[in-house]
Amino acid sequence: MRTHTATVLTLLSLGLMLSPLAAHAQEQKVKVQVEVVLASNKGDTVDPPELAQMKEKFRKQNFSFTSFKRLSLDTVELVTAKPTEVRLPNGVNASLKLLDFKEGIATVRVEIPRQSGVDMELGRQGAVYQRAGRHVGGELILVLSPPAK
Amino acid sequence: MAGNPACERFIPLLSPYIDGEVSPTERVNIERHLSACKACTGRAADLRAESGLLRVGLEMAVDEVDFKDFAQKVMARVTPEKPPVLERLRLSLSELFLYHRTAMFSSLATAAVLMLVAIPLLMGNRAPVGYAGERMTVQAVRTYDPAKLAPVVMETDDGSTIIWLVDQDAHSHGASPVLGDEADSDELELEEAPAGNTAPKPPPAQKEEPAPKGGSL
Repeated sequence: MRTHTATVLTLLSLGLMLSPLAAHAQEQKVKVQVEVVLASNKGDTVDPPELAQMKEKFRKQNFSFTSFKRLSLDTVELVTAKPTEVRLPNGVNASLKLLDFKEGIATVRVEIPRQSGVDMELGRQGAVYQRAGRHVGGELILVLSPPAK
Repeated sequence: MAGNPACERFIPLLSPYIDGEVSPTERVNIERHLSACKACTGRAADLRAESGLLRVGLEMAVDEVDFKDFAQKVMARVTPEKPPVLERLRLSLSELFLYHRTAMFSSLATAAVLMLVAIPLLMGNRAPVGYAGERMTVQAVRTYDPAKLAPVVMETDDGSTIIWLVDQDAHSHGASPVLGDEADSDELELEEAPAGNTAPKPPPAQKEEPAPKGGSL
């Protein structure tokens, strides 16, 4: 009985130690934070206040949007060869696909119908702001960034 | 055998007395009798002499024996062959859990808790999976209707990228973004941009357009 208990505990300990390795050996998955922001010239609302940084970046690039409103914020998981769709407020479905995974760097393709397709390598810093079409008198912007910790 | 009747009682006790095997009360009684009985005193002296001779003889016999590696020789006879490694491991573990059960269980519990705490912390400090690159890097941009939509790629100070599409018909026709299909897509391969370059890259076929102005594109 004691021998069995010792064996079970030993196996449990080994399982605990090896579980991260087993998880790593599974199919590659990448998490991306996807944010949809409506930029417009109606009013000067910046909601939430963190979007003030985004507003400043756009101002420095000569954009004159005065209002930035976050419409959605999600973290989506991308797997190889299986696109993930993100529904935009203007009825368009943006498609995100994990194209490649080399040396720890994931390459992701973002397709926005009628607009543009972008291939990007993910990195720890920065974000990619992609125009996603017009919506209620403003412009929808799809923001891709690393997932929050 | 003994003239004194009291001697018959003490004679059998003389040998244990010499060997120190009697109780303190008996010892006192024997010594009291010996002080008064010359015959028993002589018997006790003879017994002491025999015992001393025997001890000397045994010591001489022992000196002739070689006791070098005695323990190893005895242990070699006790465990003639080593059990397999797994068996020894199993025995060690079972003995540990048998004799140090509390210590073993608390050690295992502590190790499990430490791992449960340490693994998420270590994983949390690392970059998320797929983010080994230092910054987000745009590699290629395609538009679905290159005749009417022109891509503009701008890099900001912090390494972010703004990808904007300029509606070439917006000013001339006042139309919303034009439908296009993927077959007509125009791919713009990006070269590595110098750090800090914040100026918009000129869009193809867009030379007369002013710099992007939000809402009036």
